[in-house]
Amino acid sequence: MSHFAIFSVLFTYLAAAVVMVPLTRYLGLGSVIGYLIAGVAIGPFGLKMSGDVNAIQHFSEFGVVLMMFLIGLELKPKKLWRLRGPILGMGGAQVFLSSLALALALRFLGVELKESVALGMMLALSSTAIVLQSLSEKGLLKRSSGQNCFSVLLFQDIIVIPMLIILPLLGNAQAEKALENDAGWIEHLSSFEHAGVVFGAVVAVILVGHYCVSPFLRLVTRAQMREIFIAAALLLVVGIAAFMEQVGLSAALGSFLAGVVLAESEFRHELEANIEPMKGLLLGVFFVSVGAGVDFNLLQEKPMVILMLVSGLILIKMLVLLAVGKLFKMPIQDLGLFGFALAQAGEFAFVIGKYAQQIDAISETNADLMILVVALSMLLTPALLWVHDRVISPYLSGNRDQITLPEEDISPEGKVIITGFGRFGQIVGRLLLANNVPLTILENDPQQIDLLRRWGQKVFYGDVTRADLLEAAGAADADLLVVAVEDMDTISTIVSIAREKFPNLKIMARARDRQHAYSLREKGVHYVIRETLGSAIDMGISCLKELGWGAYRAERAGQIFKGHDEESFNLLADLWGDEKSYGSALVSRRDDLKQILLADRHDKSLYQDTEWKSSQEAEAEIVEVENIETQEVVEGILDRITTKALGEN
Amino acid sequence: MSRRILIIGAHPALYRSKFHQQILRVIGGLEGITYHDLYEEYPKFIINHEKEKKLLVSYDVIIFQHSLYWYSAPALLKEWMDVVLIYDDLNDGAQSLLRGKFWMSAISIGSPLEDFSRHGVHGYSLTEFMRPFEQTAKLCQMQWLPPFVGSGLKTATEIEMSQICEAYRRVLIGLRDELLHPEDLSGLTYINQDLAQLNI
Repeated sequence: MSHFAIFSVLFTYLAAAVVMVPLTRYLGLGSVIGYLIAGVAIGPFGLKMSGDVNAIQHFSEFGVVLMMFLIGLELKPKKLWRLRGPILGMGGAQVFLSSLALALALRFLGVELKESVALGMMLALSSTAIVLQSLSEKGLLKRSSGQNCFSVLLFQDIIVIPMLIILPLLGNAQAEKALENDAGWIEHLSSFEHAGVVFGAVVAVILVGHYCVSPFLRLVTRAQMREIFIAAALLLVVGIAAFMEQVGLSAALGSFLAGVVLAESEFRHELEANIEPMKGLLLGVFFVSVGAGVDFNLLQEKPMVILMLVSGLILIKMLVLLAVGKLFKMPIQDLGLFGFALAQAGEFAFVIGKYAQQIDAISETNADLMILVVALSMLLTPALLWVHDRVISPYLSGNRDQITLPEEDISPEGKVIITGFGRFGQIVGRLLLANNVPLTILENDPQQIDLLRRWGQKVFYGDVTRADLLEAAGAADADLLVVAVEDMDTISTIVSIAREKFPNLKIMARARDRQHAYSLREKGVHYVIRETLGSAIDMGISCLKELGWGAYRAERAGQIFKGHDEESFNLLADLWGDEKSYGSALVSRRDDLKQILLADRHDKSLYQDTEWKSSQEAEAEIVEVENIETQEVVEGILDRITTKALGEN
Repeated sequence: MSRRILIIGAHPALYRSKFHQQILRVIGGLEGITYHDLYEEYPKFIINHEKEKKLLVSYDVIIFQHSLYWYSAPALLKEWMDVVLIYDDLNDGAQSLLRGKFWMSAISIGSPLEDFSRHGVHGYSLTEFMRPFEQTAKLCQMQWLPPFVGSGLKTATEIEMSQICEAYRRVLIGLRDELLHPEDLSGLTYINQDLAQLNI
């Protein structure tokens, strides 16, 4: 394609997406539908501006590769293990039974056996993109109903790999060999040797991923350039994908594997944050190209057939889903969502379908038919969900006599995010960890991370002042954000970003000094503490003890002082608010200190422990307070003291 | 006409006690009752006696709600009593802070009531163990009401716990809405020993 052609095609695709997707999202239909419609609009049945659809599809398939990488990356082995029941059980049952039912239905319609099986498998898979997005938009992912859907989708993602391995068996051997011409040396191996090579390749990827990637990325981060990190990440994915293709496996499997291997590394969140937007965009283009490739002629030619196929597909899948749900004793309200949300066929059908067609596992006519049917079923999903929300769900809830218990909120790990794990953050973190509070720790000092990881602490690397890193770390769902970094300006930046992007997130901030604390309070921090307060008071208490005070007496003195200091801090915060617009920093600091010392002097009695005193002692104290000098004299003394003190700093 | 009720509650580990959490839900559902959680307000045991005195002034009925820890109040409640109830303050002629107000102890015990007898495990009646509280109330010039006792909690079923909570609720309403008067209660050992008789 010429320069101009490339640009104009890109322009068309992006323009279509930019127009369509916000519209569909606004209508609550989700983004995948938007991409598909955009594709239809610019395709041969719309504006006819889509250019060479196949070439575009090929290029944007990389989006699918990135998607599999992210899926692998976001897989948490512990979570997988915890959900192994639903994943293997429900997921396995759904895929197996759906494939079976669909294959039987197709066979009944006269399709050849091998093709029926191939098509059945592909159609059994639902659309991860649409379902996850819709569920997340409705806030259902954290609830048990959403988690069930998620488990099944997860299984489907994983089962793609074996499917890609099985498909060749259903295909035409010669067609497959033709496809693998690029792979050269593979054809000369026996299938046994081939299996051995594949096994070796997988092992190689795992070993390299586990031992070499992190050190490699650590080196890259030394350069402190974000784009280089992104380049390195892409290099990784592309490299592994290419390697896997050489060995005869799919790029998707390779990148999935790469993701799984890197899921435990400290770079997980950074990788997620950087690759997610690229994947989103490429995948979007992919969907647009799919939309453009939909053969509406078929729809015109045989509308009744298509209609029957689409409704048949959705119906069969729904029935299987309901049966599986019932089998696994899902409560009736969850069953509704389960059946309606997953009843469509998904993007994997496009991806695998292409491959299947190339190796002659399915005929071209059937492939085109399938794409049309799948696309239509995807387009119908928002409507199905709407029906579920408005009609089915209220009906099901209304039927229950007893009060429904709120669904268990299954929060994924990381209720507290700590940014900065140095002298301050570590202590907060250790206290929380000792009490089983799940933590996500973000640091940007590679050496600190290194040290901590060697001691077995899970820490993630990233520039903590970036909103997308905070997002990847789960800021949208977390309960607390602890800002424990050292630098004042960094603290303020993080607070500003967090307040803007995640207004519901409670922020606990470390402040360098009073002034900093006041400004943070004004930004809406939930809890702010001057970093030296606690330690200094403890020191003061210890001093009293060393001077002969009883331990309890000293402790009380310290707590009373702290309480009073907090009160005056709050009072002076308002004062600071008024004066901050003028005056030099020095002047305002001086006034501040003066105010404090003055207040201390006058309220001396408040600092003292007034409990357990006899009435005679009480009287003596009142007399003492009355002997304090007048305010002006005191102020004069204080002026001299504070100027001297600040001058010496 | 209604009495203002202040409940001073002391439980060091509320998160462990289903019963006391249930009691809190009962209280939460009633208007005109203030709950003051000592372990929540003073986790460092530094009680502000001025603040506490100011609080006490505006209520007619003070209820001390706690489990019986070693025949006595939990540590922080005892600390509260030591710090806030200063004899001189409370008996300063007509200015006595608490004069005429009602004191009711609402206690929960693990054993059944029968254990609190000469021949039972605890060797003395519950009334005898409550004497320090009773006498404290008297010295503060308050009117001592028979205590509310929730007993047998070590082995109580959910239904039994709910019954105790319901009885507590009725007593609170009775005190608040002046359906109960000291004269009605004078002969009773525990305020909740026979609710039917009390017409609440």
